Amino acid sequence: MARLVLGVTSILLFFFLWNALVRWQDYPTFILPAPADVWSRFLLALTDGSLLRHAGITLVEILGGLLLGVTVAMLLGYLLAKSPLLDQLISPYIVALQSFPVVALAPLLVIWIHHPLLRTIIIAALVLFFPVLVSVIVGLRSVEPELRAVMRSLQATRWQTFIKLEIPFALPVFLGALKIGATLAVIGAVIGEFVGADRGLGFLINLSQGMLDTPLMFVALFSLVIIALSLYGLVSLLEYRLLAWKRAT
Amino acid sequence: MSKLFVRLSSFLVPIFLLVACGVPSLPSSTPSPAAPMTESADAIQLGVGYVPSVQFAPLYASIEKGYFADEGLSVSLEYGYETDFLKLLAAGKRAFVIASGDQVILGRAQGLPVTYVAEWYTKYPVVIFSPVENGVATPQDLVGRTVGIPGLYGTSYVGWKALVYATHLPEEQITLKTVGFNQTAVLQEGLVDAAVDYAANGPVQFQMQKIPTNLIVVDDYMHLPSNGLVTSKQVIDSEPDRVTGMVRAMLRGVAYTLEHPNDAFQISLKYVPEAAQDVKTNRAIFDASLPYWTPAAADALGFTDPAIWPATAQFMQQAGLVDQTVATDAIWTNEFVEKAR
Repeated sequence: MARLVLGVTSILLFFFLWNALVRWQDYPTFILPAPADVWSRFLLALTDGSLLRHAGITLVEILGGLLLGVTVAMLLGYLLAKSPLLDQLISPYIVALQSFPVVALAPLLVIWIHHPLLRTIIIAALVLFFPVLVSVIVGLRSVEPELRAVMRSLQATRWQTFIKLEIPFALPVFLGALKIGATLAVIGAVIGEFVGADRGLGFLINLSQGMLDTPLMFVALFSLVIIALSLYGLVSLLEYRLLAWKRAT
Repeated sequence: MSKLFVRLSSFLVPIFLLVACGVPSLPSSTPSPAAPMTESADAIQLGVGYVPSVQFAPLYASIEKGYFADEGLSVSLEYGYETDFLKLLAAGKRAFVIASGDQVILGRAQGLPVTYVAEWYTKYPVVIFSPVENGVATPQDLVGRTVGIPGLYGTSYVGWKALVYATHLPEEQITLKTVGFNQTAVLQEGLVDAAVDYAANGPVQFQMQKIPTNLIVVDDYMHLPSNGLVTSKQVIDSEPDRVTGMVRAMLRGVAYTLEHPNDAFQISLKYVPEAAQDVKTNRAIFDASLPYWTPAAADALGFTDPAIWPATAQFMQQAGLVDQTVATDAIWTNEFVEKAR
């Protein structure tokens, strides 16, 4: 209860300070809108249905990117963790891919991938792929050799070792990466929508900038923040449930 | 849930601090005539909404030939986004920017005290282009087709909406596809039938590839206020002579470029060294720009047509680009062009 009160107080304080700053500096709306201006714009965008429409698209792209990026990172991460040869062969390419600024690549993807939704999902997946991949590899390699020896002595199959030993060991690192991935997927979706999209919260930011509508831009930004925090919260909840055994030990 | 609140607040507070530190400090809303500008009296950063390009040749000519210096001004170009520069101008952080008239109307609709003081582009530079084989020669040919556009905002979109408005095109029968700045690529891939672009961009790329091209020039159907020199009410009130000097210097650069295109192009290569690596293409871009800088009559240089402003404001409202009636009385003035002559 105390935490809830602290949280609410902190948020109220934030809005109070924001409003005070706008009034103190006499900022016009196009530079820094007051919370009331953003709220009015939020209600307008909510009632005409545009905000939910754009937010829904972005959420689909984020979840799609998350699913694709995490799945590929897990599969590839497992293979790389298990095969030093494959690791040596493929890792340089993966590192090179990571050094590619996705924001520079995104306009080319407009030409290569014609479907806007799929394109943005792939961009989101690209952005989150590397940290999740590294976490999977680190997690799987963190299994202590003595424990592997125990599994071997018990004549455990590869599948049993994977389920009973490797997953539990890799899970904390993986879930940590998933938290990062969830927020990176939001950034990836926005990058995708910045180039060649006509819907989504990233598009709404572009549109509001083009129309000099700063309150609308804040509405889109806060919507992204809420989506990112919600995803982060969900992964945290998942982590809490899945790692209950760790707390018990 | 409470943790989420704590996290939300811990996220929002840094944003607040960032914004608080990052936003410019503004002059008072009713500045005194002697209110100091952020820029020094003689040094001016002129914001232009693009990357370095031979399309800014008249401005490079004004710098190189000393036209700005003749007015006691030291001007350097700053490249970026037109809308950002308009906000900086309205906030008193810049004294002058190059912006198109429709963006000035948009700015006014959002309460930005900005004024268009001299016309540079005499024609709105947006076109709809396509390979001849696509059979899109007139606006009516667009019906039932797919048209590529960089985004549903900005100058290209305004140009598109103006064409639709002026020619009464059934917009619902045309598929508008957002393609980013990849118009030529998507046209060549056959993903769209035509694309909206600046006259000096996509069409020139087609020209360089010797692709026979159809052009639908927006300005042939509706005359919109295009790129020109824009300043703020504060600058006009406090430093009218400076405004006159800027207008005179810019227009001398435009006139010089029109009279000596070869020299002006060579000057621009000094300012855009990358362009010198592909002189042929950049010369084609420069040549494609010249008709858009040429006034109907020599003595009309710099003057904006008073009639187009209310017509443009009305079109923008009806097209849903602004959500209110924008009074155009104080948006533009020819006062400084007259003084500069």
